[in-house]
Amino acid sequence: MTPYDVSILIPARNEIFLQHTITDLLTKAEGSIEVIAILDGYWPSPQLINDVRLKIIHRGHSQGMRAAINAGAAIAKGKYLLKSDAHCMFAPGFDKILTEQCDKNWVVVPRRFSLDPEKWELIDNPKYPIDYMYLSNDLHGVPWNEKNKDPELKKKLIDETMSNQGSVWFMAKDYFHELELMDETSYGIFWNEFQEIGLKCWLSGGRVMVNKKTWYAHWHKTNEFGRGYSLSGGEQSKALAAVDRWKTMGWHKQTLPLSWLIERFFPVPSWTPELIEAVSSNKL
Amino acid sequence: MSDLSILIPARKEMFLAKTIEDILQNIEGDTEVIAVMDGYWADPPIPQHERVTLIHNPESIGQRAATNQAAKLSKAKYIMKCDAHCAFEKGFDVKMMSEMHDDWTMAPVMKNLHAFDWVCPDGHRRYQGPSGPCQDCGKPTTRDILWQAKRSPNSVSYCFDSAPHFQYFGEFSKRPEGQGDITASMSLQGSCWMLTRDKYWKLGICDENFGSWGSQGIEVAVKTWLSGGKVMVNHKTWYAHMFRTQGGDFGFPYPISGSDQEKAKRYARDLFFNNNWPKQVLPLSWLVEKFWPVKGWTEEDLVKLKANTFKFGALGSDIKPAESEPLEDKLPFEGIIYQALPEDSGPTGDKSIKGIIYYTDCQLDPKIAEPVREQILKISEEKGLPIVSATLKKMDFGVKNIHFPSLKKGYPAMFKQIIAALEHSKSDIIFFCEHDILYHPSHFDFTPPDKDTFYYNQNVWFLRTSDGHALHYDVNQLSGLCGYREALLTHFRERYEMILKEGFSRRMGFEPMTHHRIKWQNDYKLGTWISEYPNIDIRHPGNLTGQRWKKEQFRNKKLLVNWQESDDEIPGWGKTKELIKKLS
Repeated sequence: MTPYDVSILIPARNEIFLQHTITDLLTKAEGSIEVIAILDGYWPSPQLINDVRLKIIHRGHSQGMRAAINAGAAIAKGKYLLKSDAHCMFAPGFDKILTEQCDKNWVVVPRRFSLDPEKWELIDNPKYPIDYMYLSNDLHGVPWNEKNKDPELKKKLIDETMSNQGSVWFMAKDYFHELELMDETSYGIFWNEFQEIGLKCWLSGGRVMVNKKTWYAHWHKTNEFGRGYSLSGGEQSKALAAVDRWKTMGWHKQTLPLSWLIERFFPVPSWTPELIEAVSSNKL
Repeated sequence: MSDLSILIPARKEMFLAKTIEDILQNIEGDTEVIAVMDGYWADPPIPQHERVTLIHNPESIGQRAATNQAAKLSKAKYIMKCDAHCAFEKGFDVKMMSEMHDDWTMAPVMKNLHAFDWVCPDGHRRYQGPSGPCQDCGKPTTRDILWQAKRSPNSVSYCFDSAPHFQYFGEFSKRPEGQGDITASMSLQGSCWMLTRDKYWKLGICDENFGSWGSQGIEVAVKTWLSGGKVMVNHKTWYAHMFRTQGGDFGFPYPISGSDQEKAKRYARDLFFNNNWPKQVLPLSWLVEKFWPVKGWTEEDLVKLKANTFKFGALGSDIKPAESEPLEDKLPFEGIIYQALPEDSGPTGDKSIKGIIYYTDCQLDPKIAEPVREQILKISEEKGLPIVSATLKKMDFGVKNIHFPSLKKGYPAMFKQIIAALEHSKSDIIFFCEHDILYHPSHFDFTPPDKDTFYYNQNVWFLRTSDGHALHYDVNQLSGLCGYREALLTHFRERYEMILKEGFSRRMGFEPMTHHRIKWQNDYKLGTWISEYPNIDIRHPGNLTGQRWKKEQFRNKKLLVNWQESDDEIPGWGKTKELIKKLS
C-alpha cells in the first residue's frame, strides 16, 4: 500500500516561481498526491506556504539537480513520480489522467505549452503545443514540428515520442529505480536529463509516451531571470560524453542499439541512412 | 560524500538548533547532519550550513519513519541516530568511527544534559522542567540555557527485562567483562547509536511496524546481536542526553499512548521472543545467557526461553521506559541546582582532592545553624575544601547548592540530599558535615588510606545546650564520616534504592558499614580515626535522634568505650558554658 498515488518532485535552486508552481500543482491535482520541494542550497523568500501535502528537503549547499531529484525520489511515498521544473503550470486533473494510462515501463510526458510566468497564463505561440520531439544526429532533443502540426497525429491521444524536453516527466517509482535514475556520477549535476531518461527507457525495452489528454505549460527561461544553476563547462562536457556513449554502449542494462530507436521513428530529421549505418557499425 | 550522517528525527523539539550547533562545533571528521522536522518548523530556525540537510514533514510521520526518511538521504558509510536534545564531546565522530567494526552497533557513554534552568527576575533558579512561575517568589520565569553535560552518571550498560522493559544495567559494568574502553551492552537506551548504513538497511533497523516510537533501543540492539553482530559502548567518548520525564511542557514530544507502547512491545515479543525474525542467526536465549544474570530475568524465564515455552506475564504500566533517567540520576533531577561558583573553580583553582558535603532540612534554629555553617565555611576557606550543599530550601552555601522544595523532612529526604551532594561534588575524598556539629579544623586533616573503607572520626563530644553538660564515648556517627566519593555514592544509591523498596528502618541505621544487619550488594570496610581535637555534637530539642546521657540508658554497655563526662571544658574548645552562650 502506498499512501499516495503520485509524488511530485520539484528540484529548485533560486527559483522565483516555485511557490506559483506548488500552488498550481496543489490546486489542479484531483487525486492523492504529495509534493516534495527540494530547496537546493537556498531558502525561498517569502517562505513557502505550509500545506499538508507539501514536504520540503533543504540542502545546506547546492548538490545539483540530479541529486535533488534523487533525494526527493528517496523519500517519495507515491506509486508514481512526477518531476516538474519549478516554473510550470498544469491542467486540472493532470495527475488522474496521467495515472490512468501508464504502463510499468513507460515514461509519460503531457502535451507542452509555453508559460508566461508573470501572468501565469499560456503564451499564444504557433510553435505550441509540442507533443513530439526527436533526437538529432548529435543526440539533442529537438521539437518535431512536422509531427506536432500533423492533424492526423493530433487525433492520437497517447503516442510514442522519441524524446522530450525534460521539464516534466512521469513514471512509476519502481521504474525510476529500475532505470537507475538519476546517474550523478556519469551525467553530473544538471545536463541532459531527458537524454538519460529517454535513452535508458527506450533502449532497455520501455517506451516514452506523450499523453495529449492533459497538458502543462513551461516557462522557457531566458537570461533575464537567469538560470538556477550556474553551469560549469566541465559539467556539460561530462554529460555530453555520457550521452555520446549511447552511440556504442550507453548503459549496462541496455538491450537495444541506438540504431534501433532511429529506425523505429524513421525518417528522423538529420539522420541519413548513412549515419544510421555508421551508428549501427559503431563508426559514428 | 560524507563518512558519517547524523540523523535527527525531531518533533516539537526546541533544542534542535542547539543540538545541530553542538554537533557542528564538535565534529572533526567528514560528518553531515540530516534532521527531520516532523510536523513542525524548528523555532529557533536552523541556520543554513553546508553540512546540514533538513526535511520538513507537514504532518508527523513518527520517529522511526522520520529516521528512515533521513537515512534515505544519506550516502555515508556510517549512520548515527541521535535525539534532538543532545550534546557531544569534541571529536566524538572521529572517536566513534575509529573504533567501529562493520557488524557493530556502537553508542558513546551517555551523560545527562543540563540544558537549562528557569530563572525569575530575582535570580531564583529552578532546574529544567515544566514551565511555570518561580516557586520561591511566584514571579514569571524565563529559560536560561546552560547546555552542560553533567559529570555523572556515565551510563555504559543497558539491558531489558523479560517484559521487555528497558533497564539500566550498572551491575554489568562491575563485572570483569564490563571493564575496558570498549564494552559490550545487552541493549541500548536509544537516544544515540551508530552503525554502518549498509547494516541499517540490511537489518531494517527502524521497522515502522514497531509503531512510531517505543522499544527503539531494544530493536536496534537485539537486531544487531541476533544477526551475529555486537553492541558496544565506546568509553573513549560521550554524549549527553536531556531527559524529559516530568510531563506538562517537559514531556515526550511524540504522542505515546500506552497502547502504542504496548504495540511496540508486543511486536518486539513476537519478533524476538518467539524467534520470528528472519534475519536472526542466534536465538534470544543466547543473548540473555551471554549477559547472565540479567536484571528482571529469573532462572525459570531463561529455561523456558531456551525451551521455546516462554510465556509473558502481564505487562507493567510503565509507558516510556527508555525515557527514564539512569537510576542514579533520578535524585538530583528532582532537586534544583544553584551554582554559586563556576563548575571548575574550587577555592584553590585546582581540582580539590578533599571536599565537604553539607546537608540540612533547614529547620534548625539559626542560633545553632549559623555558627555551625560559619565554622565549616572558615575551615573550607582555610583548607581549600569546596562545599557542596544539599538542602530542602534554597541556600547560598558552598560552591554549589542543590535544593529540594518539594521534599518532606525525614530520613529518605536526608539520604536523597546526601546522594545529590555527592553527585555534584567534584572532590575525591568527602567529609560529611551536618548542621548541628561544630567541626574542629583538625577533623579535616585526616586522609583516608583505603578507597573501599568508610572512616568515622570517633573523637566527638556531645554538648547539652540547656546546661553545658558534655559527654564523650567512642562512637561512629554519620556526621563524622569520611570516605571516597565514588564508594560513598555507590553505597548511598544502594541504600536509597532499598529505602524506596522497603522503607527506612532502624535496622538499617544511619551509619554505613558499622554493623552487619544488612547484606549490601556493594560491601565496604569499616575504619575509624581519632582527630587531634574533637568535634562537638550539639544536642538540642530538635535533634532527629534522641540522646542518652547516662550509662544506664544504654542496653549494650560494651559500646561505651572511653566514657567521659564534663561540665567544664571540651579539649580544644574551652569552657562549655561559654560555648552554649554562643549557641543561644
